[in-house]
Order: sequence, then C-alpha cells, then structure tokens
Amino acid sequence: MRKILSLILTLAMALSICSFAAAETAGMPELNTTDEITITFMTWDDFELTQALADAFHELHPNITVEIIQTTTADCTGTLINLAAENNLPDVYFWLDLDPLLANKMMLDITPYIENDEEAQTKLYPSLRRVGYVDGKRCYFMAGENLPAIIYLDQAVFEKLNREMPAQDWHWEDLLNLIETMTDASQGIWSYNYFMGPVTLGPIALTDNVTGEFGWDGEDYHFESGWVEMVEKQFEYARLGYQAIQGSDAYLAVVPDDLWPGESGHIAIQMDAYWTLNNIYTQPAALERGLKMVPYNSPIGEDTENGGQFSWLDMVSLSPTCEHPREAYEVAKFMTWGKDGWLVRAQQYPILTNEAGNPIYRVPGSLPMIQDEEVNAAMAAIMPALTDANGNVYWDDWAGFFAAIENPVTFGGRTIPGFNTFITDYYHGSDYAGNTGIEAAISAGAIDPYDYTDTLNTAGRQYYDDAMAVFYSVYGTAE
Amino acid sequence: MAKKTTYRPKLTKRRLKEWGWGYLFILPWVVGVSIFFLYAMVQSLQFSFYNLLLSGGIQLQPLANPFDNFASVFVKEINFPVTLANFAIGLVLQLPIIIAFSLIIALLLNSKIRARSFFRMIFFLPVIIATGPVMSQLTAQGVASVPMVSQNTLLTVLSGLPEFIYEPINNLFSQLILILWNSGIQILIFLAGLQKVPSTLYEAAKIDGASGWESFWKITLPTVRPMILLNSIYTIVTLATGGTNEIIELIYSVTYAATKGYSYGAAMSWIYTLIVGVILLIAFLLLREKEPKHQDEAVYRRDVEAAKTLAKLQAKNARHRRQRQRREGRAAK
Repeated sequence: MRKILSLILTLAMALSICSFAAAETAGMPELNTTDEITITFMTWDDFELTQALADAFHELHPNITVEIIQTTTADCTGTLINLAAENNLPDVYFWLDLDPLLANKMMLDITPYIENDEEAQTKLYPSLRRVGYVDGKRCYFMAGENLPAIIYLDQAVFEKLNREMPAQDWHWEDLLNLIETMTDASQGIWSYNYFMGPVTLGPIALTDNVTGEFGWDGEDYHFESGWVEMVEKQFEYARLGYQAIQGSDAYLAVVPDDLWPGESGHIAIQMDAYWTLNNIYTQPAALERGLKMVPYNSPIGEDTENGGQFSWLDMVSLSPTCEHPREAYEVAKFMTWGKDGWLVRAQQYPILTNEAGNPIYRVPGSLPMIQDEEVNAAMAAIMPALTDANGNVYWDDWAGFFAAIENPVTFGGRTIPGFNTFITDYYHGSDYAGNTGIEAAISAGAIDPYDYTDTLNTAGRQYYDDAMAVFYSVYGTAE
Repeated sequence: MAKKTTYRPKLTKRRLKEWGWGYLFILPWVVGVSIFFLYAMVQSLQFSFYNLLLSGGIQLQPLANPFDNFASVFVKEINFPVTLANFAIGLVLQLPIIIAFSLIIALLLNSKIRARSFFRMIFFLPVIIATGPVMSQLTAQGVASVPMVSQNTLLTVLSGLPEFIYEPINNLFSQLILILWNSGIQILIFLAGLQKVPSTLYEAAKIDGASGWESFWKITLPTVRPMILLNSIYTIVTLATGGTNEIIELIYSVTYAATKGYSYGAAMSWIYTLIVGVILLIAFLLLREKEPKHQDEAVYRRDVEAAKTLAKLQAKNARHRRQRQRREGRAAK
C-alpha cells in the first residue's frame, strides 16, 4: 500500500513539474541548467527531511547541489548576525526576527522572482502572497514553514456534557459561545485553557484584510477591532472560572496532581499549537486519560472580510551576496512552500526513520502553505486517523481540516517592522496607571482598554515609521 | 622603638618551580580568554562608539558624537533603570541565600556520613546537566519553584508591597529551587576550604571544652572566610551573566531592534559591565580579609586571637565548674 502511495505521489510530482514548467510566466529568468552550482541552505528543520528534500531537488536539477547548514531556532538570529559580519551569509536561510534583518543589509529583493512565479501568485494562501513586501513594493522574504494554531476540542468532554461538536468551518463567535457555555463545575469541567489566547488570536480573526497581529493591515494597527473586546474577555473568562488555572485551589480540588490543564481531561477546549498533536494528544499517556482531542483551525469572524488564522510561520530569505539568486529562489521555494517540495514531503513523512530505525514522524512536522487539491489530498492521505486508547478511530476528517485553512497570519515580529520594540517598550513596558504593561493594567482593573485603542494605534504606527526609516536608510527607496 | 620589618618571600628554586606549575595550570584559561573573550570585548567597546551596519561584512559609520549610544541608553531606554534596580534587589536577596545554603551543604558533605562521595556527586550533578535548554524546560514546567509554596498565597501576602520590592521577592520564590540547585560550584569551593582545616584544631578546641557551635564560629568560619569572598564574587558574576538575567535579555532585544542595533547594545553592555564591576568592588571591600602588612603583625594578631579564645574557654570552664559545685552543694544539703 505504501509503495503504491509513493508511486502515485512520485507520478503526481513529475506531472506537476511538467505542467508547472509550462505555466511559468515569461518574465521569470531562466534557470541555469549547465553550470555546477552549490546553494547553501540554513535551516533548523529536521536534518533527515531537509536532506531528503535536497536530494529530491538535486534529482530534478542535477547541476544544482543544496548544501545544508543546520542551526537551531534559539541560535538562528545570533548565527545569522555573525555570518553577516563575516560576509558569509548562506544563500538561503530561515529566520525568526525581522528587525535585525531590516537594520542590516541581509536580505535580497526577490520581487522579480516571486512576481513572475505563477505558482506564488495563484497557489500561496492569500495572506502569504504579499507577506514579504516590507515597504509594500519590494519583497524580501517568503513563508518557509507553517505551524498553525490549533483549537483542540475534547470529544470525550463534549460527549460527557451531551454537547454537539461544531463543524470544521466554524466561526470565531462559535468558539466564544463554547467558551462561555461549556464550564460545568459539578462535573469538574472547565471551558478552556490556552497557550495562545483570545487576545492573540481574536484581533487576527476579527479584523478585515488583516496581515499581522493587533489588526495590522499593512499600514496601521487596529486595536479597536478585536483586541479591545478580546483583552477584556480573556481576563473576564479567567475571573468567571471558564479558564482552568493550574495550581489554583479550584483546579487542585479536581486535578490533585496539578497536571497541565490541556492534558487533564477536564478541559473542553485547548487553544494550542499544531505540534501538540504529535507531542501530547496522540501519545499513549493522553489517550489513557481518555482524551479525544479533535483539531480545528483557528476560526475567523463570521462577518469578517479576509480575517486571519494565527500560525507560527517561519520565514525564509535569500542573501544579497548570493551569486545565483534565480537558482537560490528555486531552492528556497522547493524546500519551503513549493508544490513539488510538498509532494516530496508527503512521500517522505511516512517513511523517514531515525538512526535507531524508528519513524521520525507520527504526524507530519508542518503543514502546506499553498491551496492545492493535489497537495491537500496527498497530505490528508498521510495524516493519521485519530484513535482512542482502544484503537477505535474517533476522528479522521483531515480533508475538512485542510479545506478550512484560509489565511495564515503570524507574529508581528516576523512581518511588521518595529513590532518587537513596540511590544517590549510600549505595550508591555510602559506605565499604565501605575502598572507596567497595558495587559497588567487591564487585568488589575486600573484602566478601560477602550480609552487606549487610539493611543496604541498611533504609538504602534510611530514604532513602525521609525523602523521603516532605518530600513530605507539601509535598503534605499523603491524606484 | 622596634624596627618594622617587611615580609618578602625568598625567591628560591622551589618557589620558582611552584610558580611555574601554577602559571602552567592557568595558561589554558589565559589563552582562551585572550582569544575568545578579550578580543571580542575590545571589539564591542569599539562598536559602541560607532553605528554598525552589516552589509557585505562589518561597516562602522561614525556618530556625530562618539558617546551618542551611551547617552541614548540613559535617555531613551525606559526599561533599563527599572531592570537594573530589579537585578540589584534580586542580587541582595539571592546572594546570602546561595552562600548560606552552599556553606551548610558543604559542612554536611564534609562530615563523616555514609555514601559521602555519592552525596557530593548528587549536589554537583546539576552543574553538569543544567545546560540552558534543560533549565528552560524545567523552569517552564514549574520545577524551579518551591512545591509547597503556592504562588497565589504568596501573591496575596505580598500584594501590599510596592512593585519594585514585590517583583524580586516573587522572582526569588519562583526560582528558589533553581537558585539552590545552582549552588554546586560554591559547595565545591567551600568543601575544598573545609578540607584544608586541620582536624587537630577541632580536637584541641574540643579538649578545651569548645562546643560544635563554638568551633564553627571560631575555627570553621574564619578559615573559610576567603572562600566566602570567592563564592560571592563567583555568584555575583553568575547571576549577572546568566541566561535568565533580565538585563541580558534586554541587551539581546535592543541589539536586534531595528531602531537600536548592535552598537547601541554594545554601549548598554559596557554600561552594565561597569555597574557589575562596581557591585563586585563593593562585595570585595565588604568581604575581604584585611591582610596584615607585616609578618610580625600577623603573628601578633594570631597570638592575640588565640589568647582571647583560650581566655574565653577558660572562663567558660570555670563557670561550668562553679555551676557544678553549686549543684553538688545543693544536693549535699
């Protein structure tokens, strides 16, 4: 069965390459197919997968070799700064913080490639098509890895409370309604717990044409949209006892061993990340506790036009000192969001093993960044059916899950110039009625968030302008 | 009037050989520091007087005023003084706890107990395994806080205090296990000091009627006093440069900020280095043992100290004798 699947995927990949080659627009420079070229590629992704992708790329382009430089997420910014100081940046590299790359000339303008790449213009999720346009005109980076926020609903708890599970194409309002109605103290059930809560996910879900955190639309923040309600609700939910507070007396009375609420079996909704599925919810310990967590995409507001879904997106850029930018772009695309690469991934995820011979992935390490039926079908085929402790399948609607991914939007620090400084110095660092940080002040009841939306919008824009002034001084202005 | 003599060690062949071995042992450290640390420090000082741009290598752009970056830290960086004050308060709270804990554990590990080597290994083990990622994971999972102290209860108790006092105390409790767990090196240093105390001193004191408590204050503590200074310096440096230090995190964040950058971060690092230097100097002045200027003075001081101790012990023995006689007299009546 596995061989047949591999064969089908290989065939599909080969066909897609042929069709895509024909679909490339005329403006795209030709790939060098004769000279021996080596492209250095820095990543923190699993080495086995990266090597398999590099090998697959080399098979397609025999004159291009991908040399992998392994790093970690913790070291990547420091490593990049050091490599740039030595004038030795990798041709293609993953990164996490935008600001140091803006303040130093470390990214190549890839506008000519991405704008002439039909696949980028038609297949990438809409929010990812213009994610790297720093000044709105020139593109300096692309999405490299997609790890979406996932809302896990515990089917076992829903059954216990005799409640119906929502559909995969649910809305933000449905989520809030569940949070507000699922708590049942008599049965020791809390509505929810979060890793990334409503104040992070809500403004993205509820703002029209959003491209970043706090309602950022590419030019301005919109704290009046989503944030102001969600920041109040998040604290209100904690106050009203909808949220399980680990270590609290109420929680300890129900969960004496003070387990993380998300795996206690006493939570209806866990707002978390994609990787938790692999790390916890498909592990025997969670299944033995009776958890039947169903993954849902972060929902978008019912009346929101082009709202977003929060995701941990890692970014990828090309070095300005890269000698073969056209080829480097092709490598970057194949190794990150490109369809061909994803068909290889779909082949590799089930068969990759570590040195001990054990499978590396029970669940694929990340999710696609393109809207493509073929890729979605290939991925849905390798996603595991979720089973309970007895091996009975309780959920297997991966097709519905993939269909509900619409608009991934990530951290401000990865897409909005000056965001990190704004958050550190102003949002969390300034004094608000005697409290350090606005959320602390709201939590203490010292201020009304509605009075601060304009101030936050203006301050955020000022930090953006300051960072952009640095960007223009380093990269110049668009012609 | 007696002529003052200055003590100078004679340069014998043996002494020269000893010095040679000493320098040989510290040579790897000297080489390592020179290559990997000193050069980088000098370079960061240079960067702090320029605007650094990475574009095809390092480009240093002159500033209007070379001290602009230093001035900006005090003018623009609103979080710096607050974070610095939190660090200082945290240091004052944590330092005595670490030193006292290390000394107590070292005393226990120096006593004659079964499986002493095993326990010594247990207390030093965290130093080896406590790498950054391990500690981050443990902290994230709540291992760093005291299990029986509910954070919520603590919050209620401390809620009346001003934030600048409340924060460090709260941090102290939330990291107490971690702090104590990081005391392996200090324990080892104290242990080395304790093992150098001749057992004959304790035996002589015991014969003269000294209790264990008295022996600790009169023999153990004066002997390990230089180790207290050494451990204090070590602990201050560790706390000031540790991965979880808020100022280090602040320096990282400004270094990577678009509007601040590497040179600004370098200036902030140097300001911080000078402040830590001042703290170290204060600790040194407070905890140093005043060395006698002359050997005669040292001998005199030692004799006076010994005479005082002897007189106290004799007085104590006499007091015990009188008490015993009174008790026996009352019993006879």
